[in-house]
Amino acid sequence: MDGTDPAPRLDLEGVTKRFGDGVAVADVSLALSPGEFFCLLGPSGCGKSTLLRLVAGFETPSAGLIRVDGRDLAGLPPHRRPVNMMFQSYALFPHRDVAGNVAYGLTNLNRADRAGRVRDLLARVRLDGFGTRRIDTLSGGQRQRVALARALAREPGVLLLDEPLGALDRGLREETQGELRALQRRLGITFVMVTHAPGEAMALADRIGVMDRGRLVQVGDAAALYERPATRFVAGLLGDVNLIPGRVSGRDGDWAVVETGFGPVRARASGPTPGEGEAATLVIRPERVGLGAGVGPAGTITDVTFLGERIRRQVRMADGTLLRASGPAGGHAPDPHGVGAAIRLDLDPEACRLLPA
Amino acid sequence: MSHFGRLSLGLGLAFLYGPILVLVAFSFNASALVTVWGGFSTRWYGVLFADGPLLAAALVSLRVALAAAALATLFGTLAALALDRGGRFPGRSAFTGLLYVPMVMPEVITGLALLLLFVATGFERGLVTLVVAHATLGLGFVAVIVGARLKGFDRTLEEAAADLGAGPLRVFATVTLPLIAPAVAAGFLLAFTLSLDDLVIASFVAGPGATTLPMRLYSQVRLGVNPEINAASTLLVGGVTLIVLGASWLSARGGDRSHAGTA
Repeated sequence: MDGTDPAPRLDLEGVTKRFGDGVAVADVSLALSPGEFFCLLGPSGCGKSTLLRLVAGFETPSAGLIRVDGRDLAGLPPHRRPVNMMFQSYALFPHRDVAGNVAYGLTNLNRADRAGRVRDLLARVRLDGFGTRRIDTLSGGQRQRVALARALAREPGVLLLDEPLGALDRGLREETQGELRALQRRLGITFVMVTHAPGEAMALADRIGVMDRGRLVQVGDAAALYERPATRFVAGLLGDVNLIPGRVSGRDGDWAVVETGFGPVRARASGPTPGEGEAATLVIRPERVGLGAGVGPAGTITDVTFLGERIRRQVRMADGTLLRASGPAGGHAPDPHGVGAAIRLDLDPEACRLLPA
Repeated sequence: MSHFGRLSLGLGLAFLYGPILVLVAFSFNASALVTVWGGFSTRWYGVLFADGPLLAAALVSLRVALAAAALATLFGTLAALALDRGGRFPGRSAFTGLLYVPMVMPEVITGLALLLLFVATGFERGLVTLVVAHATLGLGFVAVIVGARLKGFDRTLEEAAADLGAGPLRVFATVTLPLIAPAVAAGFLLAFTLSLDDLVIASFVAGPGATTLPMRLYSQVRLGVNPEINAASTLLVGGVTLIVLGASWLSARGGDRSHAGTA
């Protein structure tokens, strides 16, 4: 998924969409490979759904280019685009039965071929024998699968999915995630899925694009985004994180020393990060905050929360800064790190990252 | 419900439907005197179905109502679509307001205005002028009923159809129209009954040889009420009631189905 793929399947270049005075999508550029599973992740209103609708052709970009397999889609109405969309509400036709919904896009086939294709598609989403069922007799999960089968019927080069799991309850959602991933692998179709759930994006996507107020702020695989967030927003979106304000007191290539309220901390500083003397944010995940008895900054444990597989501790540093540290719950009785215990932080410089304040 | 509530409801219903019930009851009166009960009989229905001119008038009414309702439905639906889908074209709110005017305009005015129009343009009065006048009357009602349906319409269904390769015409024929069909049908039935019921406008614009059932009944009443009129009116009331019930059943059923596709 790096720059060596010669021909992107879906290619966005400086795509911008303005509504009146507001900007819904700001200068988004992105290239997706054939067969890639891409997630657009962000809070509601960040422009991710608008971006999807721009690709589908329901909105016209104010600026920028959208290409599929090198072909510019500008001016093409939705029904002429080589992409299909699965809608958040599913948008199933209530006046057609399940087979009638799935067959809707198959106008290029004769009657017999169409019936066979519908059977295949329904089997693929495990709805064999549901062809004659009315839509309003289906459960939420079944509707979701009808919508998926209908969107896949025309074998699009790119399938756009707008919160496809959003309307399902939790257990079903996790089960469906696995099925969706397996189906995408098998078909080799490029999926662009919009979601506001970081866990979903991390579980499904080859790459994730994080959107914030119309901008695509970072693109990368789940591990890269989690370990090396480009902004505080990305860091906070993908999981619990300690954000510690400070000032850069020294730089040495990709390394920096940040002066925090509880002393200097060495941190990774790659990409455009604050220079020496500038205000900065030190980012560290709770599970990378080690508790020890070494020579690190001193603190006191003020709270211990048992979360089942993990234990989360709150540490008050000498200057009053509160940090969260989490570790595996183990059978160490008595717990050496109970409330009131004096500890020393063990901060791995590789796990500490420098970001703009 | 309190006693007072029950009493008011009873009084209200009696006020509304009492006269009609009296009419229906007297249509089964054996006596030829309208206000004297002479025992139960269906003889006036027999007389009614042997009354050639009256049946001819009924046939005229049905033909006019069918044609007028069809025209009103076509143009009313188009108007509703234009208002709902046309975006913000200039004069949109004025056009919306103008659609409502024929509904509240006194029928005498509408009738007189149409008569003047037909006379001024040299249009010969007859069945056609009746149809045109009644189509005008029903158009606004159809537009309002269909417009309400379009307002609650889930547009993502049309987007989904377009996304699956359907051009605008196919989207309309296979998604929009089937889903607003109950409202269109309800509008048709309402326009049909409006035409069937109308006496005032018809009196203005109908020419010789185009006498509708209400016109015929009215002219007979001027010569004195007889139980045959009661019988004819009872049938008319029954027919209209059935049609109105059908229209409201269609609207209600349509309301359920338009939301079935969304989770």
